[in-house]
Amino acid sequence: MTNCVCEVHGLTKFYGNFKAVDSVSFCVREGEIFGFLGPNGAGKTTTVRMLTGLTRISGGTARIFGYDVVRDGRKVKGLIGLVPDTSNLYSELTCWDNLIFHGEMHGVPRRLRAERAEELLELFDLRRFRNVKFRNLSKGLKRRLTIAAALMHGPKLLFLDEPTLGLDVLSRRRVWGLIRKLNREGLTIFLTTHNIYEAFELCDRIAVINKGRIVAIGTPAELRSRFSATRVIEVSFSPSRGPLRELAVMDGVMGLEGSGGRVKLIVQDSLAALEALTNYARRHGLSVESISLRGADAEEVFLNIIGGGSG
Amino acid sequence: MRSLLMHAYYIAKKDLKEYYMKPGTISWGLLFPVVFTAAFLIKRGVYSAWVAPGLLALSVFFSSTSMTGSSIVFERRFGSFERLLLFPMRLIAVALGKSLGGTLFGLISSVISMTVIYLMTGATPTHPGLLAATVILTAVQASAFGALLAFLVRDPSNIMTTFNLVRLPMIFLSGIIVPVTQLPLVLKPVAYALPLTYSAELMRYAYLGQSGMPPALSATVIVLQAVAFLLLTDYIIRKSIP
Ligand SMILES: Nc1ncnc2c1ncn2[C@@H]1O[C@H](COP(=O)(O)OP(=O)(O)OP(=O)(O)O)[C@@H](O)[C@H]1O
Ligand SMILES: [Mg+2]
Repeated sequence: MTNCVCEVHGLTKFYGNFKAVDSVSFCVREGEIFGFLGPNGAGKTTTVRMLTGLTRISGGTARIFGYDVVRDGRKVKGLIGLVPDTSNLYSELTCWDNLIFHGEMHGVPRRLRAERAEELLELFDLRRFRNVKFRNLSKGLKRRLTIAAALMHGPKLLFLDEPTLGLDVLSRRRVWGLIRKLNREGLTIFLTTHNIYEAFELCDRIAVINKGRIVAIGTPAELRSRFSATRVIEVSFSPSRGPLRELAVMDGVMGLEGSGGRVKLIVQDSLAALEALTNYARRHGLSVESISLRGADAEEVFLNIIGGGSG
Repeated sequence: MRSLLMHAYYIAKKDLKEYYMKPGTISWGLLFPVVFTAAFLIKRGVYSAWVAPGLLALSVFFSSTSMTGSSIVFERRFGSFERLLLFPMRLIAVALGKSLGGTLFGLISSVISMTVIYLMTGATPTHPGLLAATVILTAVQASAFGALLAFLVRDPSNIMTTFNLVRLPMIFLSGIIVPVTQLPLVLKPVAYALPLTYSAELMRYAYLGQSGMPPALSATVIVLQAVAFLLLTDYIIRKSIP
């Protein structure tokens, strides 16, 4: 815990009576890519916005490089960069002017501003677009420039909120490559995503968040092994009618998907589940058309952690 | 303090770069004031000497409000306004910067209008120094007023319509076309509440050496209103952080 560059305790956010973030605590270690993985509405963006000063904190504390994000907000803002969930740079400014403006506002000296902007255009492969207005860029280019702008002042910690949302496969790979490269050069990264593959691919450690609460935290390998006993049973019944509700509450069933004849069950104890399934089929006079048992993939592990997919 | 002014200046510079070419800024911030000024000076005889300073105040007012208005409404609509909250600076730099952008645009427009006035009437100010100061004060006050107004508009496509709902009646209520003293009794309190009234009076004093209001009073009201509008804008920006 000694090298926490971002240390969060009991962070909470209320919008009116609605608790969007519910007492989350975590530590982002120096030099790592820390992932915040969760479904839509989990509270990822709200957390990032509280840490970067875009939203007020309702409860708890957060320190970044030892500075309280509320009390020493200005100090913190000089040390961090934020790439928000939408690419919201100034639409009527060119790429170059956008970068220079960010340098100016962060107090980067004039000579250094131009140098940095030049380097970043090069690094992000945007030199051809130097004099193109931001609004005329494609989605992928916009995303890249938005990341570049957040780096103009040389932050020590970069917040990336859904860095690849809405990008095609190629653009996404490109952004992944850039994130890795920046991290290799020593930048600590806090990344939110709802994409399991992205989290498992990029992150050193992942916090899984659902309904405002952190439900698991660990390395991708740890998260996988924690649920290594998880199995998926896919089964088809005939006739295809049966009270599926009954299946969901059976022993060892963590999740259930499907309707009518085809059902996918996520289970911890596969033997108990198979037994319960047999009883279920007998009880309702159903015959089993096909049945298969396999290990869970990343997505199913994720659903399992957040307790989704049931009901 | 110095860094606060630098931040305000960078914001203003960026806003000018971004918005001076927007149709709304061009048509309502530059074309309308110039055309309106020229229209009211054609063959008006002695009236033109009286009306000209008010038209100058009007030009500055329309330019400055159009500029701050566009820059705030567009940025709030497209989400880039928030970016200003990410910079390591005192928050009041946002209100100052937005108003400074409008102020500079108002100054540009004032030069155009003064030229039109000079060419059409030959009028030169009795107190040039005071006129310069009045133009600057008016631009600051109008910009801050525009910034405040901008927080009431959400949709950028009808920003100028909404602004004109407020601005056009002001032309008739602020002693620009008709002296405030000649307004119906019920409208007089309205006139004395409007920011443009005091700018028009002070400009008239700077040009003609006399006006319907003591210049010190007009100047004081303009300064107080400018400060109040700026602080209110800052307050609204703080309140808008969820
Ligand atoms: N300004 C707001 N006012 C009221 N409720 C809000 C506000 N912003 C977010 N919420 C609510 O807070 C919850 C968390 O939202 P948040 O945007 O943090 O989720 P997220 O994990 O980023 O989801 P997504 O994947 O959709 O980006 C949601 O239920 C959302 O509706
Ligand atoms: Mg989000």
